[in-house]
Amino acid sequence: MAEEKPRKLKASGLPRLKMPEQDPIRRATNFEEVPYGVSLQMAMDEASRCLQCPKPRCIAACPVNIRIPEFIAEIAKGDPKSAAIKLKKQTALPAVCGRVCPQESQCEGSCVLGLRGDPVAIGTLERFSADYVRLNNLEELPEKAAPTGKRVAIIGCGPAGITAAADLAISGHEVEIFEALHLPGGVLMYGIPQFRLPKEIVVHEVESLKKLGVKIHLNYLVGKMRTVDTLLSGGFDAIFIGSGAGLPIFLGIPGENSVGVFSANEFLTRFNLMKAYDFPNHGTTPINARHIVTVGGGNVAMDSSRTALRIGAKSTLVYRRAREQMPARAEEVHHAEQEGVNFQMLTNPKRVIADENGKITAVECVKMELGEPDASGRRSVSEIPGSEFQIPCDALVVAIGNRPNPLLPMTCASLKTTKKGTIEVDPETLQTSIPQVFAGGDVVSGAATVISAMGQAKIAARSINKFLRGEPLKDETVPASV
Amino acid sequence: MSTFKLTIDGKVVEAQPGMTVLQAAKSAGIFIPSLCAHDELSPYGACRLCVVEIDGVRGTPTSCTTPAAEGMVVRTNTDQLQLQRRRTIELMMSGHPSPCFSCDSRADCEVEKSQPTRAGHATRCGTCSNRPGCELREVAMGNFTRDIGLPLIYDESKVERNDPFIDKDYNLCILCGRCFRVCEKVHGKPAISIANRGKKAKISSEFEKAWSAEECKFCGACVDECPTGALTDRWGKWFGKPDKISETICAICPKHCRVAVKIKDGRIVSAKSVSLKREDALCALGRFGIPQIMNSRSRLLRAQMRKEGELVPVSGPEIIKRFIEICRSAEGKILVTEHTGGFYESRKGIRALADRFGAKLVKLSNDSDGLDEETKREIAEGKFEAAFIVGSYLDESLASKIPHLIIADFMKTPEQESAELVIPFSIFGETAGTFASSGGEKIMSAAAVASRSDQRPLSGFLSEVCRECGVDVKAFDFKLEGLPAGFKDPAEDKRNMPERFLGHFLADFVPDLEMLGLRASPHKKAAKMADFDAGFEILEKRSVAPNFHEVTVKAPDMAKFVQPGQFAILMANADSERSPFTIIDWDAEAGWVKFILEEVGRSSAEIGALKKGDRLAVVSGPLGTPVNLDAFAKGSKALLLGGCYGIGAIYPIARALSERGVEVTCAIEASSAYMLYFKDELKSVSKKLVVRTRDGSEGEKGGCRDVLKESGKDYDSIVAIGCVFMMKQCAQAAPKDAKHALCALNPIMVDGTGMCGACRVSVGGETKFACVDGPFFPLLDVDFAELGKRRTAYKLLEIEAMPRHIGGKCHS
Repeated sequence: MAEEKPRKLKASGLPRLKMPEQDPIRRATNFEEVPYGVSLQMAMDEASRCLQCPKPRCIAACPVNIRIPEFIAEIAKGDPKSAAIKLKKQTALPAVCGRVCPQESQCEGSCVLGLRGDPVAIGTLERFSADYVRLNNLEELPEKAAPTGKRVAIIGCGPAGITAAADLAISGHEVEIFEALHLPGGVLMYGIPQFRLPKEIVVHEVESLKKLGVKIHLNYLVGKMRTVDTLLSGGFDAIFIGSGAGLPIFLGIPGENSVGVFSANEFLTRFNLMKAYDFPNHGTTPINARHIVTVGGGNVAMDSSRTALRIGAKSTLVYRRAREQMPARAEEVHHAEQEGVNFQMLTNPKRVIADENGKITAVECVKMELGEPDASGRRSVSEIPGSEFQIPCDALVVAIGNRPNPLLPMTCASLKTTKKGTIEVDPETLQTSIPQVFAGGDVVSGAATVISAMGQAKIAARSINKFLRGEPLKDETVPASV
Repeated sequence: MSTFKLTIDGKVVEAQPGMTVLQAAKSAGIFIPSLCAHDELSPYGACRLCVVEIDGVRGTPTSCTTPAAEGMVVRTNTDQLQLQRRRTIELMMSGHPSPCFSCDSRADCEVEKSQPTRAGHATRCGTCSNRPGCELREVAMGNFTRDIGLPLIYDESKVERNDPFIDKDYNLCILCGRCFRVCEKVHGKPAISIANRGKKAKISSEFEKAWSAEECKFCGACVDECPTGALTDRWGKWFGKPDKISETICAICPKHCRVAVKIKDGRIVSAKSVSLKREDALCALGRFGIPQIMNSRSRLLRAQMRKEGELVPVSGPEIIKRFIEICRSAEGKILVTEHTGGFYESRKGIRALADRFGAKLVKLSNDSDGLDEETKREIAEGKFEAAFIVGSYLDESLASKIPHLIIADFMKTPEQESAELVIPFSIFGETAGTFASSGGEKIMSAAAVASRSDQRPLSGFLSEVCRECGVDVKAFDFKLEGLPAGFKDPAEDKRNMPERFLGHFLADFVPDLEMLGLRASPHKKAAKMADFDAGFEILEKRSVAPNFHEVTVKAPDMAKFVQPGQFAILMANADSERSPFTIIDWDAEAGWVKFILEEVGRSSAEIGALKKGDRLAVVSGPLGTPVNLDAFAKGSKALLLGGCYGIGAIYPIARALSERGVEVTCAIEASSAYMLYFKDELKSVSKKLVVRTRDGSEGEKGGCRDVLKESGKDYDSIVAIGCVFMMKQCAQAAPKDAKHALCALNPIMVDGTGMCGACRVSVGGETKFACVDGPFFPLLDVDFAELGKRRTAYKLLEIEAMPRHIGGKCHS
């Protein structure tokens, strides 16, 4: 807002908005969303807390550089519709980001108000404006540039793919998405549970993508059908790979193939994508366990252990480091604890014990202790000898991370990958070893967050734009803003 | 009466007048095999297994129809009789699908598959729901050979599912006549009898009409007495032998029948009458409805209380506290309903409560369709501050007009959304209590199973409330009513069945009741998700063998890329499971792919029920790594082994190898000749086709294992595709030094693209994902024991998943 005069920063004096939530005891028994959302008045009050800093630190802290003070100013004026239009310029998925971003370490973490009090509830406001226009049918499609006649294939319809597709479609290219599963949305659909991200929102966002003219091929596994090479030879001018990190990592401990040991991917897919909680109306069988142990400390581990509660099981979470080292979003850890997940920190599984039918009966764990910080500053952990003990359980969910599915690189020899199985890219342009092919999201960074995938997708989309216009991908000068 | 003596097998035996020879032998502990004989039914002499020799009597009379007489000399176990019995069983078995009997691997196979496969058609013991309780099997075991050379006859059209509750499979029927005799015994005039003669003879109602259109009362006695599995209970048949049988009282209608419930894993999975006496006969609700009601997914499990506008699960003491608070604050302005069909103890508690708080007490029967007009008007006028309603008698709009609404119920209902307290209780069968007999006497009903979650007896809850309020429940003893005037017995006529229980429409929980004219509640009509308008059209569909369908689907994108050995994930509907099926043929130009689909559970049964022109919601593929054709040298010899779905699955591999100049031999196995398919197709793409059947009805007796044993070493490559048991047998029989021996694994999958790891298999000590690393793995390195266990991880749930609703797409 360059034309406005800089004004004096003045705090509103109101306390930070706290979003009403479902009662923890109640919500631990259902799959409904935990926070209820806020009213227009509540949102306006909260928006009025924003200082409208002349040099906002929040924008730089946002992986997609949303112009946060601008959209907040619109809400403060009581105009969520304009706020949503402003948001849509930087993010294809505001309703999603407002719910699943780790705001405390991004925008809200750098809010000036946070220095001496509570930061503006930016995530809540983003969610509010996106929900407001969706529920009141006020959405407007962004204007599309004139058709360029160029065709772009997007591999994977998750957060990265959706973001890149939206940006590229708005730039006037013809965009087609290839998705392996039978529903679009990727991890938003199969991974993040309904109680954290209602699936109606994902469906809605995908619908608006379709309205932008993006074509989505479902049940289409690139590599097994057309490959990167045949897509390029078959008329696509550029490709964006956003196929995510879908290959589960297992613990590699004895007995791990026992009946009742699941990857978090399988556990969550059964309940989210396949709706096993509605068995037998939905055909996918649920996991009927009395005590479920989840291994891991990330968001996926939180999602799994909270899902375990919701299917009526006792839920224990074991993590090999201490609570402070948990990579999960603070709110998720808080919610999990509030709902009754039993945390066992500094505990690592050693082997799975099964009965004569091969079904898990317990997991043997060992206690860990923290050591000195290593080069990266993360404290090492080591086993305490002789501290082995057993946790009786009838299901074990392994949520210690994912790798990119090797299927795509396997079918494209010229696509270079790293030792970790991620695709090698130029960090600035996200171009791969094949000039026409760009990649972003978890397939590049390993398992990370929705918003970082979207951030990368935006960079890749910008590179693809330049590539398709024949411009140099790297600017001589660093752009002032995004 | 005086007893008399006769000699059986050299032993002097005492008998009562009126006994048959069979009964006399039985009472003396002498076993004579029999099937049609039944202690409580009239002698019939149909099965001819109980034949005996009697001095002075010509031939071999049936002991079940011969009255015992003083001084008789009977022999039950001569060689001649044994031969005659064996021949009789053999004749029975030529019309009864029985290849499992003559299979050499039966014992091993039945250890591996501890439960029968849930197929649409019972083509052998291994796919018959009645395997655990089959009397024919028990009698035949050890006696049966197949040396009279009669062909086995199987006719798919003999399976009928057009009636509610009962599946009829005339392939399994041995015409023992127990069903119509028990029908006659229970109801006087039988609703069914044997129609037609000779080969066409079958159990039928008059003019072979659907039983629901006829006299049949669906008491289920015929199902319970059928020795073979020809008549089965569609909902309960796959649960297997119950852990125990207990007696309780059915309280759906005021008749309060005694009922024997079968319990498995702490759940009531079936019910039957306590005897075959006419007065003990059950109606369809008692026989078939009880387990479906008890196990309904709509059961109310949690006690809930409204807090800050939301219903939140809470503990018992909190509920009681709030309950009393509400009653005290609304004293004199309370409506209380008494469910007259409930336990005597709960009714006493309700009366005590109503009296203490000066409530208006309204009596409602189980079948009542709601409150009377006057009470409704009073509610609408806001006369009541609070109400305690037991059951579902309010509609949502009335419920919203009561400021403090307390609902106790055993099922979830929409009106509970307006309640301040929701109290789940356990019903008859789950809790002990007192009901009225038809004459108004007190009868005790025992708890057969424990109640779940927060459910507890309502009487217990009410007596606690009364104790807290200082009310003496004992003072509210009352005389129980007998049967109401004009009561019509549902066991006498199915039109007398009540439509409701505690105000709920019974057809909501027991959908087959709609076929008998009972209504379901209007809100039960669930809307289907319709995100799959595109779908994949079925171009052709035919049955190649019982339970085996060849399905051709339009999938042009996919058809361009299929290679031999790959599979696809199919979903019949948007709410189906993702299940893998091998692709057996495809045409890139015409844009179709073809599958062989074996019905083994819900997913395959759903697809099996689709017709040409219908659409599959999802066809996703090709998936998996194709078979590496380069590993088969030109001119080398390959042996492809196929069992069940593998018969189709080896076809594309055989074709591709033959085209490359590999000398292909296909060997296929099936339980019996009628289960073979694709013989001509396989012949057309291989040099030689070897056929083996487990019962020897076509080709040599045996299986793929035997082919491998005999000639495995003559081949450069071996590929085995079939069930886990068949591949395990092949792995044992293959030459230990075989350099190139493969199998194709088919474990449980969810996504099929390497994302979930459900399909982990151990191969040579390493964990592999069958969906991306496979499906082909070295035959000799696979841990089949682990695979077998992982495949059966969901067996109990899979029974629950079986589609049992008829009229819709799902039929098995």
